[in-house]
Amino acid sequence: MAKTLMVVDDSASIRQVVGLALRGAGYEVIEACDGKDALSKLTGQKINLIISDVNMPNMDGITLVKEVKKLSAYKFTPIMMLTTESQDDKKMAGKAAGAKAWVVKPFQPPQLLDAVAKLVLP
Amino acid sequence: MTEQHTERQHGTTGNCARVVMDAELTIYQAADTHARLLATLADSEALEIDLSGVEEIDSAGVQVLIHLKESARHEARTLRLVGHSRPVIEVLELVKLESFFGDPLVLPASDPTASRGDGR
Amino acid sequence: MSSDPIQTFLDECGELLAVMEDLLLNVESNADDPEAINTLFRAVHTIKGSSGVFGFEHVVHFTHRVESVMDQVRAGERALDAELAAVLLDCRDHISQLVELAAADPAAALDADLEQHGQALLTALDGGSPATAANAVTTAGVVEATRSGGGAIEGNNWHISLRFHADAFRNGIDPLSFLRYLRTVGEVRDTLTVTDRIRDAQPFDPEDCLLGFEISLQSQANKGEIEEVFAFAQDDCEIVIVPPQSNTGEYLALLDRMPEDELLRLGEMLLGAGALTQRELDQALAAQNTGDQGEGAATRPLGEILVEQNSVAQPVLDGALQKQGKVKAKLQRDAQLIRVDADKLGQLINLVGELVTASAATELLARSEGSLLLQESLAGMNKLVSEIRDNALTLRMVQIGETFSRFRRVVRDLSRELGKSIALEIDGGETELDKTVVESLSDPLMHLVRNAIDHGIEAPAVRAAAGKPEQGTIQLSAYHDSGSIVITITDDGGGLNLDKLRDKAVNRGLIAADVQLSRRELMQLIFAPGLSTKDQATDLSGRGVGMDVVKRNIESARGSVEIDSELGRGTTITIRLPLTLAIIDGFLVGSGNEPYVVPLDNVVECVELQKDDWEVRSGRHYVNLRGTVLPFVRLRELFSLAPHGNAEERENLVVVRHGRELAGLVVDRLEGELQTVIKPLGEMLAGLRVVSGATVMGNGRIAMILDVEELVRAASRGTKALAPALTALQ
Repeated sequence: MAKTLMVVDDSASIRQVVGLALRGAGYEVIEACDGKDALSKLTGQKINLIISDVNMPNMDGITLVKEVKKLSAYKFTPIMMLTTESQDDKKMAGKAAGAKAWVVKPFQPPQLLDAVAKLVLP
Repeated sequence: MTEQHTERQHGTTGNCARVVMDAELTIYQAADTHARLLATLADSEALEIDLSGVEEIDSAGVQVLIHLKESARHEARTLRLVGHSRPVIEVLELVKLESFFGDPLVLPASDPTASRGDGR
Repeated sequence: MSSDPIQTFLDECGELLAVMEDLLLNVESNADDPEAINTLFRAVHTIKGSSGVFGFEHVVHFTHRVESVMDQVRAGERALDAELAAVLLDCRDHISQLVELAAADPAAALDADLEQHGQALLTALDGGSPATAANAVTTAGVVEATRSGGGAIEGNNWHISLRFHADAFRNGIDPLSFLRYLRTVGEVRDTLTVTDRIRDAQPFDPEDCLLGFEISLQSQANKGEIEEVFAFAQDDCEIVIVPPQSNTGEYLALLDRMPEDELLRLGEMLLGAGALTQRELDQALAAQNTGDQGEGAATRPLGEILVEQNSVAQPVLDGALQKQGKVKAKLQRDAQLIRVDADKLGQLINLVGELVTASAATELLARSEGSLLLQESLAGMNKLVSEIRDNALTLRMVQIGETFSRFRRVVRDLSRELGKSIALEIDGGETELDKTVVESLSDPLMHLVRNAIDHGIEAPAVRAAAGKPEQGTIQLSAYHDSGSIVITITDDGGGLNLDKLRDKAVNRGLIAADVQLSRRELMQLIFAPGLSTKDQATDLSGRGVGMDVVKRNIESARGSVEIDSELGRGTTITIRLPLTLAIIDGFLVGSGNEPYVVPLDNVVECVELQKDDWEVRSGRHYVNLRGTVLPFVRLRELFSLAPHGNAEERENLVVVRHGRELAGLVVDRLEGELQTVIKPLGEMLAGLRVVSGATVMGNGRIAMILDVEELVRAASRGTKALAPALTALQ
């Protein structure tokens, strides 16, 4: 059964790159362009991992993490943040909110797939 | 979502329950599944869990099975896992718990989940 | 401490088991003593940890269970009563047996009796209840399954211990995915799923993560890379990664190679060697800061914490501490040193040289004035001047060890590149010599070491076939010998093939086909331009270029180089250099009207030469010196000098020595000792082999400094005139 991942990023190109890499590795991918959009797309279907940017309009990544943790159908779903080097404070805040994993931008697709493999069984 | 089919068979040696698991045995079902299976076990001398329909199992799912096995042992009841699907076999191999459960692992050639489990 | 780690381990276990026995036998008085119980726990814990390092899986599995029980006792969850103590004593004996068996043969399987005995003990340890007994079987069953599954249990495995925190699932962590990912960095040899906490949980919350794993992993990855696998689980898991025992040696080697110019903290050193990860260090530092120390207790040493949390093995810690001590000692020595510009020193030495000359001039003047008082006073001053000279020269003396040490890396890198295994031995690194000599030495030395690696030491297979150890040895050594420093480069490689060498020399027209050469002369052919004995040139040392350059470089520093080699056994190259290039103690002689200086270190004795002692045979001169035949050369003939005054004047023989060879110099007058500053010869005279330099004497005259090595050679060849072509090829 293919695992389903959600990618949340306001940059369409990043969504595209990440989506391409993940679909290429056999995952199913749901895309969302910000936190609000992501929440609206969490409608009860099985999601194995949420990969989210930090800085986004409407709802940022940290708030998204906090909101996801409140949803009983998704409260155990691992969340991976995409951060830039300089966002150590954001990283701490995300960690406190419940995000467990990080990939630092810019990243290469193999790095991302490695990180995903540590969180999701094939 | 997690509807379990419980069949009771009353034999000469006492009552034996059989539960068929759903497709998902993960953290999201762990609490419910555990409570139900534990209750069933308490009412039975033997419990057989059919895993043939399990398409996804995670650490929490494995942990539920471990706890049930330990509980059964403690109360001198019998717990049998049967019809392991490919995802279940893979996970048990990963944690090397095949002999802990002590059940024969047979994967029927016609196992419907076999191809799907591998197919990512 | 024994140098054999297994022996050290056995000794350590012996001590710990003795402690256990002692405490358990006195259980009545110890049962309520937290310190005693803690000691008991630590003993088991340490045995488990060390066994993990050595890959003694049986010991690890068994002690792990005993440790769990001790942990319960320590936490007050279980009483250490007489009954438990009796079982623990039996467990102690069982551990002792397991340790001995494992040390004898780590891969050996347990025999059925021992295995069963262990099971019974574990059952008894758990109070014999059915559930726990079943669990004991489980543990054994898992190990058994692994073994029958073909996973060889080897000593060369990483041991990874994981205990997930209760909140792990809630934080989105799935331990299974890490286990799965671990397979991408190595081969998982054994996995033990620790189910104790699941069994014992009261009540069991299915959303709590109570899983633990003991994993045996075979991998080429380093500690950091393995830890990286669990990076996302760091906050939700206790992680202990114990490197394979084979890594201990590597860590120690890395520690040893660390630079000694900066005092690093223990943690930094271990990080640098890869024996420790940042996470482990942070964890230990945190434990050190918040440590459960009683009032007034001193901070616990970091090393102790690191060993206790299984981050670092005791031998590695010892190695790091030793290295730290070494660096500390060196820095303390360095702190007493002053850095001085080498040019300033050179200037000082030049001035001292001038002072030596000036004082010689003054002495000469005083002698001609005949003033005894003045002469006496000058004698005192001269003594001081020569002391100043000696002191000034020692200022520029450095130990050759540092130059030698640089070759460790060369040997390591090049041998690896060539697929050879070579050990470098250094001897006499504390030998001192003038810095300028060191500088003139470093290029030739580099060339010779590279040659030894490339052409000298054979490939491992060739060595094995020749019955030699696969690892070759290159030895660099230095020592002082009569005013010279002698440096030898010895390898136990293939040696020179003299026949081949001779053929090539003939082919290149360097020697005539029919010329008779001694073994020694043949070997020196290697220093001829353009001769290489290896058929296939590599890019390392080129096409044999360099041996002639090496010789030229060393000779321009007033040194000499010789080679001695035995086919199949190895080669020794001996370099002989003066300790300093600036000032020498000389012996002044006269021939004809000319003064000459012989380096005093080369002078053995001076004797009066009787006419009857001479013998002239085929152009060579020999003298009978107390029954020994000694070749000699007459300076007057060598330099074609006119006789000085009366030709009947008595002649003197100065016996000089170079290395092991003696020769005589026939001179007209012996003038006595003097200190002299060496001035380089002008270009006109640079080709004169028998003269190595010149000096200005106190009276302003210039005296030639004789090159004793060439003179010895000239004497034994009977060279009469100034033939400059006395090359090694002749």
